[in-house]
Amino acid sequence: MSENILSILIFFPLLALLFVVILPQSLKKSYPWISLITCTIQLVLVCIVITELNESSVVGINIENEFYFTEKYAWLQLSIGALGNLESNYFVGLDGLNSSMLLLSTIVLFIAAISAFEIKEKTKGFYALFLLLNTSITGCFLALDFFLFYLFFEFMLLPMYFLIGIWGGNRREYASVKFFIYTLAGSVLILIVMIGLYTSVIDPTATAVKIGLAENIYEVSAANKIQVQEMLLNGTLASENYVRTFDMLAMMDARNYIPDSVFFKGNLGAFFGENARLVAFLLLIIGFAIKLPAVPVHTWLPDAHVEAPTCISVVLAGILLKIGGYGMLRIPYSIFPEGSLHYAWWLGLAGVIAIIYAAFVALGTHNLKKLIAYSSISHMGFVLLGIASLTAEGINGALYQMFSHGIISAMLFLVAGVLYYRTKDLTIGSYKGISGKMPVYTSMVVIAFFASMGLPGFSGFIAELFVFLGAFQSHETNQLLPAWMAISATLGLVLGAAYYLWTLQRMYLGKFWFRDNKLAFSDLNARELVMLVPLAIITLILGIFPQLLLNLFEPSVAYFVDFVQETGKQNLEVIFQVSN
Amino acid sequence: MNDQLKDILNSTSYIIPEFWLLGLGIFILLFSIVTKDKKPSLNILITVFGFLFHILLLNKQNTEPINQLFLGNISVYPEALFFKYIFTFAALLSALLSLYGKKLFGTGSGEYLSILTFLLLGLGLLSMAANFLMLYLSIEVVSFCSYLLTYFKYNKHSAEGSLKYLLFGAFSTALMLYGISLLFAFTGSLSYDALQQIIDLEIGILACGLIFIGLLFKLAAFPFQVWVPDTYYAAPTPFVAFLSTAPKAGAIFVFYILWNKSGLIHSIENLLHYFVVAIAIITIIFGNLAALKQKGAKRLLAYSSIAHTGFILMPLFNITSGSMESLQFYIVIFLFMNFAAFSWVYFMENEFKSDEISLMKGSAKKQVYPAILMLITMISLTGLPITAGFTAKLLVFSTLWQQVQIGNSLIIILFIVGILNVIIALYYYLKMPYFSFFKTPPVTSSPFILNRLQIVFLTVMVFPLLLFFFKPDWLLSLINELS
Repeated sequence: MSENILSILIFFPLLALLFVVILPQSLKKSYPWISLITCTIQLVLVCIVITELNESSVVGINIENEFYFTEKYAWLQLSIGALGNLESNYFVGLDGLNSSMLLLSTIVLFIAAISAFEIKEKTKGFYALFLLLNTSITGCFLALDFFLFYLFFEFMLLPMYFLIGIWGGNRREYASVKFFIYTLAGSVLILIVMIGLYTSVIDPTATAVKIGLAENIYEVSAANKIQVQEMLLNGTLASENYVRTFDMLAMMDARNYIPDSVFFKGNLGAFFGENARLVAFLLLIIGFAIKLPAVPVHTWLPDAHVEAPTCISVVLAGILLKIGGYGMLRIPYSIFPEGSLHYAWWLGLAGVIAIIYAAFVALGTHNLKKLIAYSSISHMGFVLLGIASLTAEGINGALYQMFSHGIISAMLFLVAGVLYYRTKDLTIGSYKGISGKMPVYTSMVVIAFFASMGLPGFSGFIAELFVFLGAFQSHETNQLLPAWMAISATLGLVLGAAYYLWTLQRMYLGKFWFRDNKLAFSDLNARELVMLVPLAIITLILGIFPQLLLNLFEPSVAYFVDFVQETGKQNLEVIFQVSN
Repeated sequence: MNDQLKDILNSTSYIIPEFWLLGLGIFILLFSIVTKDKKPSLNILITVFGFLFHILLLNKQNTEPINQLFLGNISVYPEALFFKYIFTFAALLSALLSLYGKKLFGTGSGEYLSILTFLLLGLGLLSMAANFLMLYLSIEVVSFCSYLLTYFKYNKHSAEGSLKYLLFGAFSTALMLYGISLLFAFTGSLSYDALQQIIDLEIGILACGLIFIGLLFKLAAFPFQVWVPDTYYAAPTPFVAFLSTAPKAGAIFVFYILWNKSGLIHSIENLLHYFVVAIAIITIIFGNLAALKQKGAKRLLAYSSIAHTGFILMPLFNITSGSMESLQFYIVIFLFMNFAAFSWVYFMENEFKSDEISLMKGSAKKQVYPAILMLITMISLTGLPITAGFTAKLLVFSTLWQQVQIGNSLIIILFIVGILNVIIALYYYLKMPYFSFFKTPPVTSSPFILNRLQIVFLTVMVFPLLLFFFKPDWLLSLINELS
């Protein structure tokens, strides 16, 4: 069982989906329970996996043996005239970059499954789509093959489109179409690079089998691989023997690039005056930045968040945005490391702009959900800043921030959902002094707001502290980001405090007043408490014992930073030698 | 004289399937006259079995490449057999689809089916033509059958559509004929190989360009697409599904042969090369932009098929001729997608006598399974995973990538335009699912419900779209076996 545990995690929701589809409408009371049980089983499995990981230091990144729970099966093996052979494997595995994301996604999906009990209409379709979304999210975080990753990455959009478009608010149709087209634009940019990459990269293992150095892929030795790579460089490997691959790990090794291909680092191949590898890096970064989202490609997010039903907002903010950040680390940073040095300044700038701009917009919005949406954009700016700094602290901080924001934003959207469930109104100006009527609820709001503000004692504080450390250090160690970026990013914290405290004061404090006074306000029920309390506990624990989470990814990040900086520098030198 | 007779007699064995089609067409016509066309479904069944037998005959056909049959008029190309299967398969589906809606059929099922058979015969000959005379004749057979079939709804719209088609068609074949006569005047030959002699001269570019225009008209590439929306709108939908796939496949095959024989595939500096790349770029942009505003499902699909022409042209521009497989893959998937989409529209037309997309309002609420099938079709037409439409586009783009690598700037533009258009395409392909899933069904009118047979037909069309995403190697090996 343990060798297939990741596949079970990915495909278990599909099995549950089958149940939901087969069970007749008369048993529709069971649908939410099926999805909840599925998410619970996933959570338990992930906890088992994580405890096992915690005891060992995982490195992963570009070394296949260092991944945990890897599974690799041949999937597509095509041979097409001019293209020769190409392969895509079903290849999944865990390392420091994705283990925390996997944990986050199962926690958030579990909470969302509880929150989904609110959905009363067309439940069959809802739960079918929800489980489909679950599979594609889990698959996306675990895939180590570009084709597989892209498949899950893009397939996420379709269930999301329907979940927003059918069960959303008043402007749901507009929001869902905008979401779909916007994010598809991002994935199309990724597709361009994917096509270029797999036509440039060979799999040394499969090629060794092809030219008869070994009987099958399990018997290929390290020496065989090196032999193949040397033959490739010398030009003694016939082109019909190339086995082109989508394997991300193969793409991270410069020796696997076909010498005259466009992404070969010594190649002059240029797109409109820029080196092809740098262009590819940019395309990938923009593609993932739309998902993250970074300013100015963020406009789909407020619409989608405001219109989506509560549990879907939770998944959107808690998980989907993180795929942007995770994707940046896994793909452009690892495959084209020179871009991370070359464009660090611009990425840092984009991060700072997102932090400050989104915070200002949040200050000016009148809708609680929109405010939370813009605060999400602002917080994802920290992720971008941390990644751009390319220091161990910065990237640890970015990963920590993604986890912490996933938990906190889930909590924030639930808090907004509680109010919406009772009054169908999220305008900030419609309320005053809710604390009088709903004291328990208000205390949860206070925790969520304070955690999101980055108050010491909460996980957000640790995350942002690390990001600032990284951004400042970058100025001294690798000279990628100037000090003013870190300094101006602190403005985001001040603004964050401002819009949260102001909202708290306007909506929750003072004498109770509500625009439509006929409605009864009841405090949190048991289901809502079950969702909110664990999240509050997690953010508190992670604020006090950061090592619990850091242990998961610290070794990987340390290796990752060295790897990216070193190969990045080497590649940049080659690129500039060639272009001079 | 004796030698010529001998040649003809020897050659006969190579076109037995075509003889069978000729006989079949005449038989259906006579049969329907004898039975006074009382039982359209019987006619359809005879045709379907006739086509099945034709496939059997194709299976037995010799595929050794032979250059000169019938005094140099007909050749056997190794790839042609695959395309003949495609033509027959499309005709078979089209005939089957006609079974579902007898009311729209009007009278004359016998004529309809026999003309369809002759059209198939024309396409078969098109794929075997060895010189321009034969090419011209077979294109005319295909065209005239198409003009006639377009009129088979017998109303004002179909008269208009058919006439428009006829006028534009006549114009383009005239241009093509002019190109052929120029070629003949300068080389004294009508054979395909003569193209190579003059392709680098200005007059050769003109002659070849004019011949290409005739083919681009059949492919519905911009600016020779004007007839498409009206014709598709006017013609009986089962025939439209056929028209949007089989003649296109035939034309692209001839294009491919000429492209190779003229040597254009290697001379990327030639003006004609630029011309065709530019046409592919504009066709994709035009088709997609024009589709955005459409309210009728048939017109929307018409523009979508124009946009797809641009993608079908892409494999031509690969310098190392090995792109045939990705073209064939694309065509098979395109066939399934188009038949699925048009049959959905056809079933709706049967219900409402109109193809307006807004009539689909809330159909998913009444019957969710067919709506899901339609959604998969649309996703596949857009080119997103997990459908074979994605794989087809991926393969086509991959063959193009080798040119992108060299830094051919026009090809780079084609590549980027092709990929970015997926985003535009998504908007209009989502229209039908949008109405079907997001809108509530109208209270007044009767809901749109498909019967079991219709659902089976749709399922059979959509299933390959999913299967060949997960197992594209199966389709590729099938293609290799067939050609």
